[in-house]
Amino acid sequence: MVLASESTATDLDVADIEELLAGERQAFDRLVSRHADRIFNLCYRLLGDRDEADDCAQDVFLKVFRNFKQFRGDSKFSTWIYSIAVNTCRNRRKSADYRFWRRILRFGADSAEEGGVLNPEIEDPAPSPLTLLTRREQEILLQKAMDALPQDQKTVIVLRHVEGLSYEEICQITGYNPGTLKSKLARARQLLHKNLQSL
Amino acid sequence: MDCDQVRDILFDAGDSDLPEELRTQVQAHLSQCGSCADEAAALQREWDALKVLPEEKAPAGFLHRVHERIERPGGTQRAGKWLSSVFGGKGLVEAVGLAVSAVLVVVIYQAVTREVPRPKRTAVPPTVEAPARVQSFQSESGKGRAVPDALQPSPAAPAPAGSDLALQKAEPAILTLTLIIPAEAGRRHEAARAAAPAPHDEGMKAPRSAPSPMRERGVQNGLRQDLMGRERDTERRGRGDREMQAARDEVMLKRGAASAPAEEKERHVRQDSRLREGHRGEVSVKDDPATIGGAVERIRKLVEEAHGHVAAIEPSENTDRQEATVVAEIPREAFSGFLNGLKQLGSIQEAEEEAIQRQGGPTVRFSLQVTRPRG
Repeated sequence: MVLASESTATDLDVADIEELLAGERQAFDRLVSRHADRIFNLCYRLLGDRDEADDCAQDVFLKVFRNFKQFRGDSKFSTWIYSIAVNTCRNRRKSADYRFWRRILRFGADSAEEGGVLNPEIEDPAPSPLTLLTRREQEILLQKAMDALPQDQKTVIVLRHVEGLSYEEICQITGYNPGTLKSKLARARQLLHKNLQSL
Repeated sequence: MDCDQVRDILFDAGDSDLPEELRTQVQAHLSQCGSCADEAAALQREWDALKVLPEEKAPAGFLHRVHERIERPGGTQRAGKWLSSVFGGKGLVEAVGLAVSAVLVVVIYQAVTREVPRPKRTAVPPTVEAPARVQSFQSESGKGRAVPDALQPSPAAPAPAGSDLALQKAEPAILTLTLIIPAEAGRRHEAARAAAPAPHDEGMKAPRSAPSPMRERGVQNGLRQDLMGRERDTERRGRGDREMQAARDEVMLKRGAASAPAEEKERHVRQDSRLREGHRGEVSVKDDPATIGGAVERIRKLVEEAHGHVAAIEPSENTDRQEATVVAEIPREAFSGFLNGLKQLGSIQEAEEEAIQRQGGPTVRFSLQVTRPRG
């Protein structure tokens, strides 16, 4: 899952970009095929919904197709497309349409998204449920705890712990400086841990 | 290193490797503190779980949907296609060019057709489009008088041709006529009045009000017979005190305002204002053309008979003559008959026929100055 170390993919990306600049449409298809799952997974982790992630991932590649001439090559293509995905998901979450449907779907359910903290009253002194659940249940629990994070903290947690990107890559994608990124990561870990303990 | 410090280090470092010295200190604390050791283990499990989260695969047909999105026209492209369909298959650039051209045509048309302010005309008669106000007209004595609004040419006044040359040659909208009433006629009439029956003959009613100071002065000035005759005429027509007062005013006008008190002059002006405001036919001297008032009333009657209308009547005072100015409008076909009627009152200095014709329009507007030398 580590993207930065895939030098082969990086070389392929550079070659496809050059062909795309030369007018070869097939190069774009190769780029999509190579990065579609990762971009979709990132969108899904950031948005928590498959349909939203599908739509948002399409938007990401649409933006890539329309703006590939702006890719200067001073960073990896994967970093560039990740930054597009993060911004697209952030804008999607800010949109009134997204908030409306999220509110409808979560109507009646616990939602600590606004405050970033789940209800502490349900904290149980029993062994962590994470150890008791199956893998699938763990996944659902983790996703729920991440969805309860503020968007910026959720982004850095996903990029760091799910996507396994380096601090430098995360700084390039998000635009944060290293100090800001470290503080955001520390707060995000504390809050995620609190959320998981409260589930 | 206490528990809080260790937990802060754990959250800050995350899954990253700690520096060797710091890692040794943390390990030493965790080996002694079970609570912190459990917390560190829980955190490591969480981070491991995040790492092993399954990678969600993009739904089937993802590339196809991306292609559809690429091929699907955006908002601008859709607008361009719509414009192309509207403008018969022309491209967006051509459509925008046509729209800009249309806007330019409209702007230029408005700029060209904007009404240019007409240059001020000096000594040019008024027209229907831009009627110039008649500031004054010269009386026979050379005194200029302001012309009231009622005398200003109406929009129905004939409009000369539009060219500047035609404007310069056009005649004034108001013709100036002069009617001179011979003084002998006045004396003859006064003599006839002197021979008339004395006042308060049978059948006459006494005035309802006491004789005014003006009346008393009229008597003292030898005008008693004249006044009594007018009062008799007035009473016979049942016109009342207001006509009586008008008759007295007329006597004052005939005898000259130089000898009349100031208040009498003012009252006379008020009476004249009533005339201008439409109080027609209420003076008692309508059948006495030998006087200015009677002549004016006769002129008014002539105008009405010619189906015209009087716009204004203005009296004026001079030591050697009595004057009044009548401004009226008469249908063109009746103007010659009106002039014939005026000739019955005195000598008239007619306007040239050519000037009347040049005035144009269905009506003739004129300013008639009536003059009667003092006997």
